[in-house]
Amino acid sequence: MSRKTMLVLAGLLAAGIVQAEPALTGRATELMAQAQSDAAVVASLPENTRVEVLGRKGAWSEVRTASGQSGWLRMAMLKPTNAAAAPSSSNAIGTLQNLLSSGRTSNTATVTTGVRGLSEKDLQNAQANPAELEKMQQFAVDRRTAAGFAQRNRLVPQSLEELPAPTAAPAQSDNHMVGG
Amino acid sequence: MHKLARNVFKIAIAMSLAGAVTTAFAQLPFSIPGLGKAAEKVGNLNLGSLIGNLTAATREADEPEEIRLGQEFAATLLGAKPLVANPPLQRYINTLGRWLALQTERPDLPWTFGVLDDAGFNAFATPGGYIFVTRGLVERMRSEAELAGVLAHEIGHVLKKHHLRAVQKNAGFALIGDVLNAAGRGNPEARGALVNVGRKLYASGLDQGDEFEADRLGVVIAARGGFDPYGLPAVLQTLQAQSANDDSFSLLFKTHPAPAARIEMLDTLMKDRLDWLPAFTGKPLNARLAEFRR
Repeated sequence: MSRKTMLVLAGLLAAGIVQAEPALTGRATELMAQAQSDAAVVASLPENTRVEVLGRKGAWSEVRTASGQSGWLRMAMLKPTNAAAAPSSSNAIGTLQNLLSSGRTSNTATVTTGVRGLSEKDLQNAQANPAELEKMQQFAVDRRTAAGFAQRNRLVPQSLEELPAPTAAPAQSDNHMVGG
Repeated sequence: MHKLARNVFKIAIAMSLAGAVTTAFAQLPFSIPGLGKAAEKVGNLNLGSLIGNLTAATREADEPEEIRLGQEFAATLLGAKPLVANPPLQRYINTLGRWLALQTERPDLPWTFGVLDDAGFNAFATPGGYIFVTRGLVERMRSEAELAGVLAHEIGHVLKKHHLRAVQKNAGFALIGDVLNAAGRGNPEARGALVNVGRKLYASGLDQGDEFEADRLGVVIAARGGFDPYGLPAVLQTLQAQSANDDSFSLLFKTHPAPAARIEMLDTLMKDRLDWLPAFTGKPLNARLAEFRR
C-alpha cells in the first residue's frame, strides 16, 4: 500500500468513516448465525481466513467472508491482517536507550499517519503547569452529578467481583459473580 | 518495567532527589525541618550506598501524600500537553469518569479527569485519582463503552496505587515524603525533583503485571457501571492493528505489553462469563457534547 493511501485510510479511520475493516481468523473457528455460542453454525472457517468486520456486539464481532457468508464470531478469534507487523512488547533495551538519550532531538520513527503524539521528548521537556491543573480541577464533578448522569442513561450498577490473575486462577464457579 | 530499566530508573530518581536536596541545602543558610536531616545524609554518601539507603527507607505514603504526589505528576503531564479548550468535553469526561470511579472501593478520592490536547493515542493516571486521555484517543473511540473501558483501566491503576508503588519501590517513600513537604513549602529544587521523577515514570511506564491488572480491573469497573464489558478488549483490538512505529501510538506501545498478550489474557478470564451483563454501548460523542454544552 502506498504511503498516500495509508494516510488517506488513517484519516478515514480517525474520522470513523470506514465501516468494514479487514481481519484474519486467529485460529480455526465456526461462523455463527447469531451472536451466541448456541446459535446455528453458518460455516467452519480455517485459521487465517480473511474477513471484513462489520460491527461488534459485546464479545461478538459480525463479519463477512470473501465468499459472501455473513455471521458472528468471538471478537478474540480475530487478529489484524498485518499481525506480522504488530509490535512486540516494550523491550528493555529500547527503554534504556530512551532513558539515556534524554534531550536528543532526532526522531527516527517511521511516520505512518503523519500524526505525532505526545512523546517521551515532550515529557522530558515538560515543566509543571499548576495553573492548568487548577483549571482541570474546576471541571471535577461530585457524586450526585455522576449519579444523575447514570440515571438519565438508565445505567444500573452491577455487583461484580474482580477477575483473578490468570496464574492464581482457580476453577471458577458460576456463582463467583453475582448479578445486581 | 524490566529489571535493567528499573535500575536506571532507580538511579535517575536517586540522582534527582539527591541533587535537589543537596542543592537546596547548599543554597539555604538555614535548615528546613525534615529536609535538613535528609540533606546531611544524602550529601555524605556515594551513589551506591545512597540507593541502598533509599530502598531501605520504606514507609507507606498516606492518602494526603498520595494525592499531593498525584497533583505534582498531573501538573507535569499538563506541562507536556494542556487541556483541550472544550468545556463540554471536559465536563463530560469528568461525569463519565466519576460514575465509573463510584463503582470502586475508593469512591471519594478527588477524582479528576482531563482530555489533553494531543493528537496521539494515550491515557495516563496519577496517584490520588487524576486521569488523562488524549484528544486523539477520544476521537478514535468507536463507542462510549470503549472510552469507559479506557477510563476504567486508568482508574484501576489508581486503585492499586501502581504509580505510587513504582516510586516507593524505586526511591523509598521516606525521602519522597520529605521532598514533597519541601515542595509544598515552595522549595523550587524539591519541586524540580518531583517533576523529574514524574517525567521518568511516565516516559518509562509501569511493570507489565500492573498493566495486566489494570486491564482486568478496567473490564470489571466498566461492567459494574453498566457498560459493555467488551469496550476495553475492543480498544485493544484496535491497537493490535496499529504499528508501534506510528508516532501517534509509539509511547503507548513502549510503555505497555503487546495488545495481543493483553487480549489473550482477558479472553481467557472473561470467556462467556460476563455475557449475561447489561451491555450499554453508550451514546455518540456528538450527542454527549451537545448534552454537556450547558
